[in-house]
Formats: sequence, C-alpha cells, structure tokens
Amino acid sequence: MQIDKRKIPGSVMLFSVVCFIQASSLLTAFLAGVTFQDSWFAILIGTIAGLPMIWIYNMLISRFPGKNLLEILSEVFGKVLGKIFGVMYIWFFLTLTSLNTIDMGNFVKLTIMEETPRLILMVLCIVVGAWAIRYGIGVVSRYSFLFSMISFIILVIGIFLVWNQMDFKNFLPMFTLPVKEYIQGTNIILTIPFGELVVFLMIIPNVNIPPQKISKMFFIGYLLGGIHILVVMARDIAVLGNTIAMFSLPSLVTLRLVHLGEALSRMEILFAVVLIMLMFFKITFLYYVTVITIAQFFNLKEYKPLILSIGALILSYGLTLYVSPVKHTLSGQEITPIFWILFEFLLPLVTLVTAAIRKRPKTGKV
Amino acid sequence: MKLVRIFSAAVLAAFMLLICGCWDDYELNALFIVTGIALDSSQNPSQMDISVQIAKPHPSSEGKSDSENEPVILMNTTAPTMSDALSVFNRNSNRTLMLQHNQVLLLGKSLAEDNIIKHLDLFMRDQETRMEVLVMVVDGRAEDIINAQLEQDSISGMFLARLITDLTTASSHYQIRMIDFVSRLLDESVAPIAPIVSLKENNGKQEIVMNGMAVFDNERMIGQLTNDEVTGYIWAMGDVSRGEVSFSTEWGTAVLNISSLTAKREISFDNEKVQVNLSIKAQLHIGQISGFKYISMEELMAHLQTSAEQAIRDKIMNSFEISKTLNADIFGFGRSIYRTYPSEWKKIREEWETVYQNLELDVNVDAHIATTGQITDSLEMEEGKSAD
Amino acid sequence: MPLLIMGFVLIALIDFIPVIRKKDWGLAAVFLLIFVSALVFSVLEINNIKIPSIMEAAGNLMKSIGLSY
Repeated sequence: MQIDKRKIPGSVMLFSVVCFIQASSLLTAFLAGVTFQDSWFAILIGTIAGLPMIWIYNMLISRFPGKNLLEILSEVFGKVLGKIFGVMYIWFFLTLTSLNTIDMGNFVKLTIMEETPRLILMVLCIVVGAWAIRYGIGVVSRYSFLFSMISFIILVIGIFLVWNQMDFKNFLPMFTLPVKEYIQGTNIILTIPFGELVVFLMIIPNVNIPPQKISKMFFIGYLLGGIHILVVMARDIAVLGNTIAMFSLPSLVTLRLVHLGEALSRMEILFAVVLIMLMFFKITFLYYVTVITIAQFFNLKEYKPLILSIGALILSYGLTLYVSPVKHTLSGQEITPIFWILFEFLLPLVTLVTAAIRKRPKTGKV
Repeated sequence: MKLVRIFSAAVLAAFMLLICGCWDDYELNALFIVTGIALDSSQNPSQMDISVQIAKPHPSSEGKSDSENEPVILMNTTAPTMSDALSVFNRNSNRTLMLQHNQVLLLGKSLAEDNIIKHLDLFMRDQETRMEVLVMVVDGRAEDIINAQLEQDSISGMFLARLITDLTTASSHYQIRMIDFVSRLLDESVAPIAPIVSLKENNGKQEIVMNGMAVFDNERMIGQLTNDEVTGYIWAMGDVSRGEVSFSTEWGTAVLNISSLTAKREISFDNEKVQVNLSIKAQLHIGQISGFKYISMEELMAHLQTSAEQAIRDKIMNSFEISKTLNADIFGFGRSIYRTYPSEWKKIREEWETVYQNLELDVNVDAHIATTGQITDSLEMEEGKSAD
Repeated sequence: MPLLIMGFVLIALIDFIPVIRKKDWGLAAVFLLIFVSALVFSVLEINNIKIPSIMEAAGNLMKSIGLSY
C-alpha cells in the first residue's frame, strides 16, 4: 500500500535517474585512487557490467506492475521474511541518505564555505528537503530536468575551458594495472553511482506510465548518467594526468586550472553550483525514499509527521558513521563496494528468482 | 491567499541574497590580497624566512602619483612552516590574508638547494592555495624579488605572472605551475624544473630577468640550465610558436625566426640501451642575414636550411648533454617509455639513472624556410650582384 | 545543547501534536521510536561520547572474513 499516491510523468523519472548518477560524478576520487589513468575504462566497463543489474530491476518492475519494493518483498517472501528484508532496506536507505548528507557537508565546507560549521550546512539541506517532501514525490523530483541540463551544460563549458590544457598522452599507458584493480574499480562504479538506483524501486508506483515504458526510462537515464560520469572522468584525467589520485575532488582542481586570459580563470564556482544542486537533489530524493519506506513498513496512513524526526535521525546517525574522512574514503574503496552488492544486486536477484520459483505474483500475470 | 504566497516568496528570496554564506563573507576592505609568496632559508636551519607581498587596492583619488604611494605591502616573518607564518601574519594585521589570487611562489636558491620538497606539502594540502601558482627559483634571496620596485609593473608578483604568460605564447613549456611541478615530482623518473629569476640593477632601476631554469631531484635543487640550454630543452619538448635560430657560417651570419616547431619522439630499444629518435619539424622565416656575397638565392636557401637544422640539432644535443651531467631526465624520456612501452619500463626503471646516461638521442631536424621578409637578397648579396 | 533541545522541542510541537490530536497511536509509536533515537544520538554526539559506528563495525567484520580488497 503506497502512502504517497501522487504521480509523476515518465520523463521526470528519467531525469531523476540522470541527476542521481550525475551527483556521483563528484565522487570520482574514490575511483581515481584505484585505477588512476584507466579510470575512464573502469567506468565504461562498469556501465556495461551494470546492465544485468538494471535488467533485474526492470524485470521486477514488469513482473510486479504498480508495486514498490516493500510490497514486492512481502509478496515474494511472505510476511515475516519480507518484513526482515524490509528492515534491512530501511537501514540501507537511511545509511545512504546519511552518507550523502555527510559528504555534502564535507565537500561544501572544504571547498566553498570554510568557516561555516558543517552541521549548519547539513541542517539547512535537510530542512529544505523536508519541506519539499511534505508535498510529495512531484515536488521532490520536479527539478530533475533543470538540474540535469544545467549539469550537462556546465560539463560542456568546462571541457571548452580546459581544452588547451588537455594532454591526451595522460591516458597512457593503458591497461597495465593488475586485474584486481580493474575489478575493484568496476565494483566501485557499479555500487556507488549505479547500484544506488535500487532506491527507484520504491517510487515505481508513482510513475504513471506502463511498466515497459518505465523500464525504458530507467535504461535511458542509466545510460545518460553513465556517459556523464565517463566524460567527467576523461576530462579530469586529460587535464590532471598523474596527479589525479592526489586530490579529494579532482573536478574542482580541473576547473581551478582554467586560464583563458585574465578574465576566464579560477572557475571553480561552476563546480560549486553543480555540487550543491545535484547533492541537494540526491539527498532530498533519498530522504523521501527513506521516509516513505519507514511509513509503509509500519502500515501508517500518512508520512508527514515523521519527516522532521527522520531528518534529525539522518543527521545524528550520519555523524556517528565515520569519524574521519580518510576512513570514509578508504572504506568507500575497499569495503562499501562489496557490502552494497548485497542490497543492490544480490537481494533483487534472489527476489526475482524466488518470485519465478514461487510463481509470484499470484495472479499468474507475468 | 495568493498575495500572501507571493509576499512570502519575495521575503525568502531577499533572505537568500542577504544571509547567503554569511559565515564566510569576505569584505574587500577586510582582506589582504596576496600576490606573491617568497620562501628563503633562515639562519635557523629548521625554519624559513617567509615574505608575503600584498597588493593594495588603488587609491580612489586619481591625482596621486605612483611613486609616492607604495602599491604593495610587505610582510615577513620566520617560521618552520607556511601555515605557522600565515597565523603570524593574520595575527599581526587587521585584515585577513587571502591567498586565492596568489600569482607566484618564489623559492630562494639556498632554500631550494636544501630540502625544499617537504615544505611544498602545505601548498598542496591547503584548499586556499592553488595548483596554478607559478613556481620559480630566485638566484639570491626570494624576498628581494618581493621587495623589488619595478618600473614596468608596480607589483612584482603580477609582473612575474605576466612575464610567464608572455613566454607561454612562445612555448607552453615555459610555464611551471605547482601542478606541473608536482606531476613531475610524483613521477620517479622525470626531473622537476622551475624558471630562475634574478634581480638586476640597471642605472639605479631594478629589473627582474629570467636567468635559466633550476633542475631538481626528489628532494632539492641540484643544478641549473642557462637561458641558452633552456632554449634547447624547449625545442626538444616541441610545441613552440616563437623563437630564433641564429648561426654563422663561413659565408655569413643569419637569424631565422621560428614560426612553429614541433617535436615527436620515437623510442626504440637496442639490447640494453634506449634509443630516442627525436624528429623536429620547424617552420622558419628569415629574420636577418648578413654576408653571403656571391651566392644565388637557391643556394642560399639550401645553405640556410641545412645550417638551421644543424644549429637546432646542436642546441638540443647540448642541453641533453648538460642534463646527463646533472643526471636529470628533464625531457621526460622515462615517462615516454613508461607510456609507450610499460613492460619494458618495468625492467629498466630501477636503473633508470644508468640507463639515462647511456641513452642515445638521435635528433632529426626538418626545417622549412618560408618567407624571406621584406627584402630578398641581403645588402651584401646585392652589392655582390651589381659588382659583377 | 540548549539549541539542540529547542530544535527537538520544535519538531515535537510541529509534528507530534497533530498526531496526538488524531489519536493515531500507531503513528505516535513510530514517531516516538524515531524521535527518541534521533534525540539519543544527538545528545551523545553533542557531548562527544563516542558511538560505535555501524559502518566501521561492518567493515571490520567483512575484513575478518576476507571480503574486502
């Protein structure tokens, strides 16, 4: 039983997917430290390797039309096991939201507003997000098209601005790293930008187009997002060369190096604008999904009273997660990619297989 | 109801503009804009003398002449690290130092020869300093450059930035930013370099001139190239759009202007030795020639062409030999090997220094002289003709 | 600390009172669950009492099994 009955058009969902992935293009430092100049290749392979994952989601969408993840879990696994998995996903969504909020606080404080306490930045983001969530999925995802387009445009502008500093020899040598690094890199890309799309399984009922079209939207959004990250990574490698692994925010350094005459220099404001826009969108979206999931899990009739409390929980829980950014990055490279596979790949796969075995949904329609 | 909404939206928009970033607001009159930082070695070996050049915003009244008002403020202190120095500066002034517009980082020669690399860590880590800061070594004490009163530009930091920008139109390889320096440092085979500048007194006026380039290894400065040797290096790196080739043969002297010069490397292996084949393609045109009596135009062009090729080759080989004596791979041949033959590189990277000593450089120059300028024959050639 | 208390009181005022009025006890229970957890976490954080991090614990667990790079 969904709580939020409002609908959004398919195109909004498509651009929400794109925005979601674009927000992760700011986190490329995770990848650059592992695969260095071959990072673009890891992204390419990751995009291709993610297709089965997207296929699984699409299969679930078409098999259970109009039902969101929690409902699918209860139907396939029965009440008890379904609830257990539900709790696990609640934890997963909550942790994702918290991690992204902390990331945003860190990035903004580190780069743009150094004096402002990180907590204030995060509280503001959550409060504005809470306000948007009160009005439902429509408001939350409405700006996806605008944010997406602005990000694309700034990406293209950025490429022109650093054109004279790109050295394509920086991509060499290619494919000389040990295979383990490529696997790790692909894993990182699969789980951190792409796998998080599993949250969209919660809002499927809110998209008012037939399931096949939803699958198509999902797929196109996935590809567009993948292209965006690929281009960002390639541009950063071309400009920064072997120094790319040094920086916690490579795209920021790339834009700082812009120097076309005296006027067009030090353009990192572009990065800042995109950062705040996209991260805000992603956080608000994840926040929304967390609230909806919790409310639906407890079979509540409305979710509005929970919003602010969950917001407070996101913030306070988030602060406990990683004491130091160094541990966060290390964990993001080594542990999180494997851990997230459980939620983003294994559980959906098991769900699909179990659904086929147990012949769910019961109506016999496939 | 609608009115209330519009009103609230307007109020919120106004709030947005006013309180945005209120914690991080910077008012121009509460800032010191840093345009140059100079690091020198101090009497206490564990500390550095740090000087900072601050640009004053122009006085509002137009009537004052520049010589009365000093356009820059200078602050200096002695501290173990840059961040300590910054705290001292901020403590002793009524304004905050803003490093975002810093143009140059000047390293005093004695400091560079000591153990400079560890001091550069701060510059990479602090978010305020930027990777595009130009790095330069000063022949002498860096603070003298900061203190210099130049005729051409009132702020020496800006002067240096513009000097390098101008040189960059000749070749992009003149410009050594922090990121270029760091990139070379990270690569174990390539030697970092930085331009050397020095202060000269000329009729009581001070001038800053570029005086070659400093060569570093992983820890400190180990040697330098003269301006001439720098030219050889620049030509070997290619991407040149301005320069001069001058030579004199038994028939006359000539100066040819370079309109473009590109370099391409090809690496081959011969047993244990590495062979680099550098092919240079140069487009030249005649700047000035004198002498060359009794020579026809075709002979002259052919002669100039071969002599130019020889001159270019000689200069590059000379710079290469100098780099061998310093045992510094400034040309980045090691990096080229790594990029094109990574498996071979793995074998030789441990002994790169020995391999570099035995590296064979083969320079092939293909020069093409386009135009001859406004006059064709030289004055003496004309003389020679009419004397027939 | 007082700011924190104020914040939470504000949340309670805005969100909890309508719930009580409606006598929706299920919703109230869930609300309290979340509210109290958030409050506990926040108070501990403000007082710099270290809370064991779930992510770090999971990370250590996975490393001991060998499930990490």
